[in-house]
Parts: sequence; C-alpha cells; structure tokens
Amino acid sequence: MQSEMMLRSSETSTNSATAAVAPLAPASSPTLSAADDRTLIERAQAGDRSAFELLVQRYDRQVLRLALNVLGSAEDARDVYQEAFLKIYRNLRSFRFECAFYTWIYRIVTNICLDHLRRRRSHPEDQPPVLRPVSFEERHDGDFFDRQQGTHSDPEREVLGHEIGRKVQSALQALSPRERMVFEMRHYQGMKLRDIGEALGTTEETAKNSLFRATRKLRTQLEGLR
Amino acid sequence: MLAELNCSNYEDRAILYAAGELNQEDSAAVEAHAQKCANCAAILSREIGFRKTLAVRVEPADTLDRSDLLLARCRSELFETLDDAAAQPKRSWRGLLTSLAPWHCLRAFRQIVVFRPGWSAAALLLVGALAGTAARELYRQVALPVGNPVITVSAPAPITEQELETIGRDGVRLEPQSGSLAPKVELQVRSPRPRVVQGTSDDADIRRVLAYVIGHGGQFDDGVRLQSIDALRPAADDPQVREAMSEALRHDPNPAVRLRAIEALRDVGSAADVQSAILGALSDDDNSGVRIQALNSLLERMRSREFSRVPLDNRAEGILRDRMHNDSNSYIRSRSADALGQLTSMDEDSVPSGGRHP
Repeated sequence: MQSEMMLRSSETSTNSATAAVAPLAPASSPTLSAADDRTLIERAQAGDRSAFELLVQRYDRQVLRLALNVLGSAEDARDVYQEAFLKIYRNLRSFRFECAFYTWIYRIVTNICLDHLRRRRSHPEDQPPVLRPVSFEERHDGDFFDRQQGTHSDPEREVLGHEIGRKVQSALQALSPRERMVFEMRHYQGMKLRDIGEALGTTEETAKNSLFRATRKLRTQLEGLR
Repeated sequence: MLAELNCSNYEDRAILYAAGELNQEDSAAVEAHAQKCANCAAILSREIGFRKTLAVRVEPADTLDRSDLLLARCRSELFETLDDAAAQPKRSWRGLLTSLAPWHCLRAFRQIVVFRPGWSAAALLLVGALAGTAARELYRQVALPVGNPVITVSAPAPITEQELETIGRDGVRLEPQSGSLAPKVELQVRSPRPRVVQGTSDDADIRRVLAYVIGHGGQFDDGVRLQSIDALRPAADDPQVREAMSEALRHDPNPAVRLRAIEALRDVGSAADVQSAILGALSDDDNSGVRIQALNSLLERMRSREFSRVPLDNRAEGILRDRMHNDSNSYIRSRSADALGQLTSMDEDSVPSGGRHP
C-alpha cells in the first residue's frame, strides 16, 4: 500500500513544482536505493553502475514524459531518452554539484528536444504522426493508474477534453521550439521559470518572456474554444 | 517583489498569476487591482479561464505510453547499451585501428538492427539483397562439393531434425514483403543434401524452422531471431510456436529478443505454459526492462476477460510478493504491490471457493 502511494505520488508529481525531484520508492536495499541524489551521483561518478541505474530510474519517467509531450512521437522520444542518458552517463564525472542534478539533466534533455524540434522545422516532412485521440472506452480499459485517473471524470467531459486536447496540441506545434519547451515545462511539467531558465541555459527573465509570447500566441489560436 | 503594477503591465502579471508564478504579495496586488479596474478584471478572468482550458488537454504522454511499456523498453535498451559499452576495451591508438575491423562494424550493425527497427528494416533489405545474391553464388562455387549442385525448390520438402541442426548462422534470411504479407524466408540447408528452401511463415515447415531459430539463441544472429519472432507473431497460437517463444523468453541471451517474445506472447491467451514463462521472466530475468515488461503483461492478463476462465499459476502470488519486497527496481516493487492487491480483490469477488488453481 505504501509503495502504491509512493508511486502514485511520483506519477502525479509531474504537475507540481517539484516534479523533477521524484520521491524515493521504498528501499529494498536501504544502503543504496534509499540514498540521496548526492550519494548516488558520487558513487556513479566513481563507476558504480547500480547507483547510476537508480539515478536513471528516479528521473527517466519525467524525461520520457517531457520528450513525448514535446515531440508527440514515441520513436523520437525513445531517441531523446537514449541520447540524453548516454550523454549524462558519459559526462557524469564533470558534474560538480553547482546546480541541482535535475536541472543538469533537464539542460541536457531540453537541448536534445530543441534540436529535434529545430530539425523538424527545417524538414517539415519529419512531422510526427497526428495522434489519434484515445476513446473513452479505451481509456477505461487501461491499466490500474489509468483507471484511477478516470474515476472522477465523466464521459462528456472526456470527449470535450480530447477535442480541446487536439486543438491545444496543434496550437502548440505552431510555437517556436523555445517557446514550446518553456510552455511545456511550465504548464505540464510544473517547473518554475527560474529552473526552466537554468535548464535552457538562460535567465528567468528570458524564460518569462518566452512564456508571455507562447501564451499570447496560444490564446490567439485557441480563441473561441471556451 | 516585482515592479509597480498598473494597467499597462497588467496582462503579463495576470499570465504569471494564472501560472502560479507570483508570491503572495504580488498575487494580492493583482487581485486588488482587478477589483478597481473592470478591464483588468476581464484580463485576469480570461487568463484564469485560459489556464483551465489548457489543463483539460490530454497529454500525448498519456496516449503514447499508457502502460509504461515504452519506458520499460527505453530502460532496457539503455542498460544494454551501457553493458555493451562496459564490455568494450578502453581505446588506445591500437584500439582505434582495431575499431575499424569488420567485427566492430558487425557489432555496430547488430545494435542498429536491435534498436532501430526502421533503419534495420531498410538496411536488412539492402544488405540482404546484396549479400544474398553474392553469397549464394559464392556458396555454389566454394562451399559445395563439385558435382553436388544446389537444388532450388519453391515448395520445400519436409526438413528433418538433423537438417535443422545443420542450418548455419548465415543460413536463414528473412525478406520483408510489402503490405501485410508474411516475410519471405530463405533457408540454406547444408547436409545431408545441400539445398535452398524458400517459403513464408504460412508454410508449416518454414514455421517449424523459424520456431527452431527462436528457440536456439546461440546458433543464430540476434537480428534473425527478432525477425523470426515478428514473422511468427500471427501464428503465436500454434503450440510449437508458443513453446519456442516461451523458450526464447527463458533462455535467449539478448534482452531485446526476450522483450520481443513477451510482446508476441501478448497475442496468445492465458495458456498455462505462457503464464509460466512470463512468471519465470518476472522472477528470474536479470534485466529490469524484461521484468517490467513481464509484469505489465501479467497485469494485462489479469485484466482480460479470459482471465476469469483460465486459472492463474499458483506461483504467481509468491513471485509477486517476492518482487514486491526484493526487486532492485522500485517500479517493479510498486507495480507488484498493485498486482497483489488486484489478485486479492479478484479472489474475493470472482474466484470460486478453493482459491487459485495449481
């Protein structure tokens, strides 16, 4: 029961400001799996592979989620995941604890995602396939966690949600790569603008301006939706 | 504290307010201004409404990876790549020279085959077309004794067990065909009567050979085994095929092949042998990605309608309990706890007295 709650809180934490700092799951091996990030990072830097795997498991759900949301393609998200964690693995020794570990990870991931988005812009033929909205029946045929999410909703709201979701998705694709990233990280990953600025290698003020531009563009595109 | 709030900068501040980026003091200033100014109140209400609209969006991640299968696969691929990297010796000038050697190219090719199905399909087509043509010619000229020519038959004669054992590492070639057609398979049987046999996985004999390929991990290349699983997937109901896939799941050295075998077995009902193989993978596989996939597959089975009619292996509860307490992977521990909870509630609701079946 405890573990179920821990995992669920990890699932929902993507919408909170502390999303990237996933709560620890109960430890079967208290010495390692309950260790804090710093200990794990230091051990991984010294070549401990299992410590690195635990770090991956702490952060990879959010990384994959961000890549899926931004790129809208499972194949591209998979590439981003592999490229990001291999880069993290190779460069881990150069991490000097000058910023939070999750900020460092996000810096790597967002750069790779931005590259993908820019590549797509210059090659319009590489657009992701249009996502088929999941029907109400399919959604309720899902796994344990899906069903938990669906418990409090009603069919009409879900259908409306999918319609709005489709329009929001298409409006998001019209943003510039940087605006897209900022918007996704602020609204759907729940990150603070200061952290977003740091992850993008820029200032909070620049991230804020990107958020303003993105919001205005989206609002124009989605006018009349409500 | 931000700059003084007025009507000209109100919209930006309202955006930050709706996004939850303002501290208590600045938020209070935004609200107080809205009470004095109708225009700004409308702006604030619009921003809050817009934020609510965005919250209704179903995120692509929820559609594209609803059951965490993609996450499991990504982890598995990453850890395997790291394993491969760790197995490689450190680079030196001599190492750089040897890295150009054919076996390194082969390893790189193998990784592409395993991790980039799209590229691998294209590459296999190209390489297969070139190598197949050249190799067959070479085979005719060099490998076979003079006076013992290759016989090409379109309807293969039954292949004996002894012949199966003589099929070499490079003796199986699968060529994808357009549309939903089963891939064309070409076999080079060396002994006792060298010949080339062609057909598709719809042929029982070819199916038997592909099942043999899947079940003998060490004898054939990873790419061929993955392709064979894909080719046999539509025939996964065939007991022989099912057995081979279960065997691959238990013993194949490559986690990507084991993952693919679990995926293929998803199409099969809740047969006891399949359940047993999946439970075995959950219990014993040393790759966490494979264990996650096995656990997800088990959960899927538990949710299926068929599950109420097919008994669950009585080891399931013990294995799930063990994983919940002892697995090194936190995700598996949590999901195992969920599965156990589901199992208990199903016991109470639907399974007749006497509990689960042996």
